[in-house]
Amino acid sequence: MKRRVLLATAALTLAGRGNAQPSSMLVAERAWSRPALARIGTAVTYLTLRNDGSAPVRVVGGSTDIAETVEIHESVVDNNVARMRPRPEGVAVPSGGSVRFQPNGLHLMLMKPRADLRAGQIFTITLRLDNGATLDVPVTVAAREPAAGHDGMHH
Amino acid sequence: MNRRTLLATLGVGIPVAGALGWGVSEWMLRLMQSPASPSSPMQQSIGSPFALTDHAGRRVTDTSYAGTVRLVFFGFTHCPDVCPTGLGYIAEVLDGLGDEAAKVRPLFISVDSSRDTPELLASYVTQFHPALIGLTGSEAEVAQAAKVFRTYYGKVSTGGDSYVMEHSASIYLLGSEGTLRGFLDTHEPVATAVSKVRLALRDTAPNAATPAGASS
Ligand SMILES: [Cu+2]
Repeated sequence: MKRRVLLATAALTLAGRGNAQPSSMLVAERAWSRPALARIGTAVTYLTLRNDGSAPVRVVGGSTDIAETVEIHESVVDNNVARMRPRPEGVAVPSGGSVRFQPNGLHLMLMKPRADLRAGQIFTITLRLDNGATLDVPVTVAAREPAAGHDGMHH
Repeated sequence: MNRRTLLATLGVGIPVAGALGWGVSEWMLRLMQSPASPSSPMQQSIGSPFALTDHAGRRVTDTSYAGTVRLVFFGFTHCPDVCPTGLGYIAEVLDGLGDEAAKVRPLFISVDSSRDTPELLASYVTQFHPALIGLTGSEAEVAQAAKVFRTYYGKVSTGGDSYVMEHSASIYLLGSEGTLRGFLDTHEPVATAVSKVRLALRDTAPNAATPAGASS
């Protein structure tokens, strides 16, 4: 169990491009994707982003080798009807706070995966931040959400 | 009796409201102080008639599943978030039911007849659970199925040739007589859903001559 939590909580520090910004530290936790078929043309990734830095950070997009594009979307179940809308404005993670991308809510949408995503596979999504920095996030493909790590939840 | 009628009306109110818009749904939600508990069968016959094709390419109708407890979920394979979440939840419920899962028919009815061929549905639904049954059909057949479940769906263009479908997020629970017994809610623990399905299985067992609750 402990090992599992450790694996699921691969914390990453912000890799600044050009000017390093030691004050802003974004951590991605419990990133996972559902298995998906390439021929269907979409896949989804969920994760929790925690901002340990002193400045707010906005995630504005991402990319991955395994799909053509990565978009930030949000599902809204409104009046019992499920809809999905793009979030081109991205998602702000407040200083000292966290944002959860989770089923039936915020998600990263992978358009046109180049191959099927199979359970157990690990791939990388590079998130693009508004301050010009990027964050590499290892994503595990799993049929179900990984068990919650003790430090994975911030309410 | 009045109470029961009211519950039956409200139970289908949510999907219907999706089709009718805000005004009506707010009215219905105001009436619905608390959701009907799984032990208050709504008794409303629902989901008949329809004729579709299953993911093995067989022509089926609602009567193909008569006499079984059914879980019914509308969606489409190109749906990346809400449908996999619903199907993943149903898969966990089936696992939670153990041997009793064999008595349940989990139906995923596609509202995207132009893209969801039986063959595509076959590779899609089996990703989640081997027992899942994908159903699709012509536009008219799908419209008919949605109508008898009083559910809403619509096509939304996302630019160019691409589109997504908006649809009800409800997971219907039908008793073996084809009556609506309630809905599963993916926000509830899987154990809650398992209990709801077990109640439906027990209350509608072929030789359930004993009063409900007598044996548990
Ligand atoms: Cu999306």
